[in-house]
Amino acid sequence: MWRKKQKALVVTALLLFLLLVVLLSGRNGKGKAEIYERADILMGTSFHGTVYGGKRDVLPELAKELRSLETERLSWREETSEIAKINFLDGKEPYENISAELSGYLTDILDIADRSGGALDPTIGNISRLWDFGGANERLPEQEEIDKFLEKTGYEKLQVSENSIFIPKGVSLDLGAVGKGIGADRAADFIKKQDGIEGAVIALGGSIALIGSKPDRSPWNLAIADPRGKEGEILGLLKLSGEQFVSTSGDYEKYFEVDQKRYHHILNPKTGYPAESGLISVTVVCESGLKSDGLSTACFVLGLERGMELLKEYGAEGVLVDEEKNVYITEGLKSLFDLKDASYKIVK
Amino acid sequence: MKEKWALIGVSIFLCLVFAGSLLFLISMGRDKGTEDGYAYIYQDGILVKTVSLEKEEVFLIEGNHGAYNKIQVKDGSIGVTEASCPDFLCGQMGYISKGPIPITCLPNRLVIEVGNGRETEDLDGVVY
Repeated sequence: MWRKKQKALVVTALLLFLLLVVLLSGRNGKGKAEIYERADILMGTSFHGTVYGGKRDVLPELAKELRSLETERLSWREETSEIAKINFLDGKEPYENISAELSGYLTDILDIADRSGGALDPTIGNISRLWDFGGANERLPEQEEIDKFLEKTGYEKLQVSENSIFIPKGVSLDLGAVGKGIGADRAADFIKKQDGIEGAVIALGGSIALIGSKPDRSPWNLAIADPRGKEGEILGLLKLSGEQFVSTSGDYEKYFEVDQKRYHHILNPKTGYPAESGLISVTVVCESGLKSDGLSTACFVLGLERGMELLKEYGAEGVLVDEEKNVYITEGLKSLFDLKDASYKIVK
Repeated sequence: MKEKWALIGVSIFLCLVFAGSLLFLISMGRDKGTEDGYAYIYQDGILVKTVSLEKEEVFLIEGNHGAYNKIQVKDGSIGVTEASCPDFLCGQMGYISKGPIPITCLPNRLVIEVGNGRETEDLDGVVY
């Protein structure tokens, strides 16, 4: 009798021990997979990565990957990058043997530039540098300075073929308006190649990649910052599934004031001055980081009506806010958006 | 009688092991840079310090080649009061208490994040 009970006790103890081992190996008390997090400065902006599951922490490798994207392809500041090399030629000759990767990005950017009538323009670099929003030399430039560079601005001046690109003298390429979105695309591709990762959220400044799903399969829960709120306040929440990218452009992130007038960092390529379209915040959700980032800028510049049309053309979704605090939501997001600030009004 | 005491002894032992493990697991789950009321300071992508926003303090985060950021916690918020970086943009970002925009110092590769409501609101991110 005693032996039987002894056996039962040992078996129970072993079973409980095994259960503990299972719980300890990759599961925490909330029933979630192991979580890896990293905050960093990458591609000239803040980076935050959260990865659920996987065999090891891959975020340090992702950080390296994004650094190489910046130094080898995108940054006009890094003399090793293709963009810097193209700018350096300054109209002397075409840049040959452009990488397929950069050529692909430029094709997508020029498509948005074309369809938005130049509301997104990768040749606005010289004018952006005059304003230097968020930089050490931030200032209100003289009209003459802007006019001088406006002559050298215009995406239609670029000649891009499959293997080469030619930019005329004085024209400067700057992919800043889509760089974070491209980084989000690259991050999503990298995460998807790793073993055992259930889901991840990668944020580069105002652009976010949602990959896979959370361990409990609930939708990703994203907040949109309140464009006129105090620090930390939110406009509303979006519940989204994975394999989507979200970017926001707003007039509140980087700005300065002169004589009580606000000068924000989203420039209208036609005027060289901050866009005054009546919109104060545009959030775009779609299947590509580059497109969500580029479209949020283009829609901000275009304004409500033309912005909505552009989103429709791309099959993208969005939440647009005007200066009267009216919130306009595309059809596909209406049931997924939850307004949290009563000072705003959803326009049906 | 002996059997009864052995059974009780083993049961108590197992309960203690379980309770200890659960506490350990819950504490692991919290240390993920998401809890409200805390600030998380990253240098070169590594979490170097976690501070409560309820306790006022001033401390230095030092980097390579004499780089430093002097950080202050006051009134439930956190900010940079002094730094070795040439532009001091990190200091101009003021104090943060809830996010969503972190304080960043590009030259010193420093990021200061706060809980961001991710615990209370179950947020996965904020677009801004």
